[in-house]
Amino acid sequence: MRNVPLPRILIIDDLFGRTLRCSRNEQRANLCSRFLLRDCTGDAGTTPSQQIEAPIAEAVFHRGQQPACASVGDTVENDLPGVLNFVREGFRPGGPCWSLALLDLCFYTGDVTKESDGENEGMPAGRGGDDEPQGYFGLQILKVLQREVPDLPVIILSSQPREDVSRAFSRLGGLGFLDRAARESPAQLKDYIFRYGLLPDQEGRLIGRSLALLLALRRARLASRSGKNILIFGERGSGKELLAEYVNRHSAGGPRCPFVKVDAGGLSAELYSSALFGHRKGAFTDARANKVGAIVEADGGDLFLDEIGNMPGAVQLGLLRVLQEREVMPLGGTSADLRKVNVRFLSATNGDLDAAARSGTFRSDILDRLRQEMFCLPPLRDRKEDIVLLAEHYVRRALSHIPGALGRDIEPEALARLLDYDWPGNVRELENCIVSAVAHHPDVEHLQPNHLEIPSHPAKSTKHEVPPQTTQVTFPVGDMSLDDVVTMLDNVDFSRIPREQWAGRIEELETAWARFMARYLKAGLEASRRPAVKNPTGELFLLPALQLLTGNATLKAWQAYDKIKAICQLTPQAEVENTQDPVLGDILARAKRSRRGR
Amino acid sequence: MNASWQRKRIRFNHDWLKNEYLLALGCWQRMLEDSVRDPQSEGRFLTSVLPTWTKRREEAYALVLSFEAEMSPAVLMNRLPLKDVQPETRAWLEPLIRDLWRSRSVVSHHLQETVAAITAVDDGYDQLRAAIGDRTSIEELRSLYDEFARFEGLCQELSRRLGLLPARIIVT
Repeated sequence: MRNVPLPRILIIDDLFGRTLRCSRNEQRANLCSRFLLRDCTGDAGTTPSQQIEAPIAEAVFHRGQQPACASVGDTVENDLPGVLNFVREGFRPGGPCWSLALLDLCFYTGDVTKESDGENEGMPAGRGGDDEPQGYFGLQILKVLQREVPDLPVIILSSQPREDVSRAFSRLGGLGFLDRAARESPAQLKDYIFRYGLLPDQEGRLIGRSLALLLALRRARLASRSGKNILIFGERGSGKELLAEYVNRHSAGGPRCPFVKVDAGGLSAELYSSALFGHRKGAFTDARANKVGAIVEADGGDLFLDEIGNMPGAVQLGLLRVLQEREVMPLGGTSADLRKVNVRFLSATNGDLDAAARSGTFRSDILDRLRQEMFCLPPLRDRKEDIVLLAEHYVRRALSHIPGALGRDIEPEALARLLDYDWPGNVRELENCIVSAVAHHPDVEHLQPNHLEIPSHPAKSTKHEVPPQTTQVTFPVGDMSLDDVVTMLDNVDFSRIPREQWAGRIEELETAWARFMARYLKAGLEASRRPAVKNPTGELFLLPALQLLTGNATLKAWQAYDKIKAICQLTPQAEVENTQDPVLGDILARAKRSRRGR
Repeated sequence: MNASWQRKRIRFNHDWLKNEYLLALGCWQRMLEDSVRDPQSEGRFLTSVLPTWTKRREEAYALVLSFEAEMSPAVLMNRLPLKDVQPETRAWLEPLIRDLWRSRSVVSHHLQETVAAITAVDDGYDQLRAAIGDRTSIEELRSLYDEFARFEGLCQELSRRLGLLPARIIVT
């Protein structure tokens, strides 16, 4: 296991967070011992003599009040802006410092008297209302945190009665409650960190600390414990298989339970079935010996099905039986070969399986069973903060494969190039770029922009790989019916686009629409192409094609030409582009000539 | 609400018992199991922290024994409008309210249980001290882990019992 930093939790608490002038904060030391936390606050209240054998987390304490270090005669006041600033400092989108926040409820305010200082150094005497549930400062903090940093997981840490505030903290987004004195609380905190904490992959296989990735990992851990079948959505090269392995490592059965993977890419239905279900000798021509299938190999663990959308229909039918009956029969087997299995299916796709189900290419009953849980792995362009870490990792790895290679770093200009590009091929594309740069320039110690083979214009994301639950367009249409296309266009919602994105875009949209219609027209025309003796690429049959597209069987030729012109000339720019297209250009020229002739 | 009694309970149960004593006991057990080393705490625990119970036990008894006087509905006889009733009415009404409260409310039962919990902590403390004897080093005390855990359990129970007492005057 790699040496990954401990999760860091923020503890906002007046008693434990206060700084003492001349001594350490004993209550804080006790809390750290009890919960096995390493205090890294770095103030005078920190406990340097304390050694925690196996800490579960690092803790940073914050008093939430001013002054943080108070003495007799001082007046202690709650400091909501100060709390928010402190939280924000450690919660940048580029990589949150806080995995979790623990929040006290009752904060004592007022003057620090001799008596109050004698009981607990630096603590004020308290004012009426400080310890009333309806006036808890902790709930005020929670309300602001929920609004300002909604992704920060917050747990209440208190010794006040839970029932007084359970409704309030739940309503305000608190995820749980820890009684700081209860025996079970240390184990409970560990569990909270696992379930809600924003944690990088402890084994360092899914590299990155961006908020987008940490949220995906948290979702994966939560899903892993449910034991349900999981569908992972992510663009090509984004690391879906690594995420599936991550789920396996964090499942209730632990990382030792089997993890078996099957990639559908390029397999025939027969081979795919054999890979999944196994076969008996003689089941088909090449079945020369019995073979155990991946489902049986994964018994008691996880089976990862990559690119599930490519699964042939015949295989889907067999899989449905496994999903329904929890039993598997090898190809060519008899009832004696039927075997009960306990397998969790982890599937991955970068396509729109809902559309595939609607168009009938993927069975919806299988989709429902494979998608008991679903989450997305963000594309690299949505977690660009991770590019530096990833690039450095791939440089190190590439160097390890070159004997005697010089160590090298990435120049800031080269990093800027990496950050400027959208990486449509995601992490895999970045890896290839770095590995290639290292391999092709073995004698340099500083990678420069010209060493990186990156397209000169930042690539824009390919829309066909957007998660299906978003409202964005999905392509190619081959996976969808035309009804889906129409429904999708009818439902594009512009109302949530920020104002600054509206300016000057109408012409661009008109052109995009014109291109869209031109592509539709061209595809319809191409579909009408028939083999011809004189033309090896086939002949276009305009009138039948346009009759088909318009649904008008009595359409006349001149009307077809009018229609073609109308579509090809939707905007001046589109007309120029269509004129240059070999198919549309020819058709448009004919349409123009025909119209002139009338 | 009788803020005075509630505040006293918070000071005892929340501020001292939970935030200090129980945490310190938990910390000590971590040291006994050797998952934490803290020389600064080790030395203090037996001499300064554990014996605090003997200073606080009277406060615990006083807190529970003052509950009825401060939190029963009879307290309302000292507030308007009942404050103005005739002395002859007060003479029978006040004990009647108190008796009815005692018989109808579950609080009496809770109070008895809480007093028993204090006594249990007290006894547990004495037994623990006897078991400790003149041992002072943490190495010598590791074998008493279960005794410390048992004492912590008694303190947890006392804290739970104190928490069950109502925070406001209940008229039934």
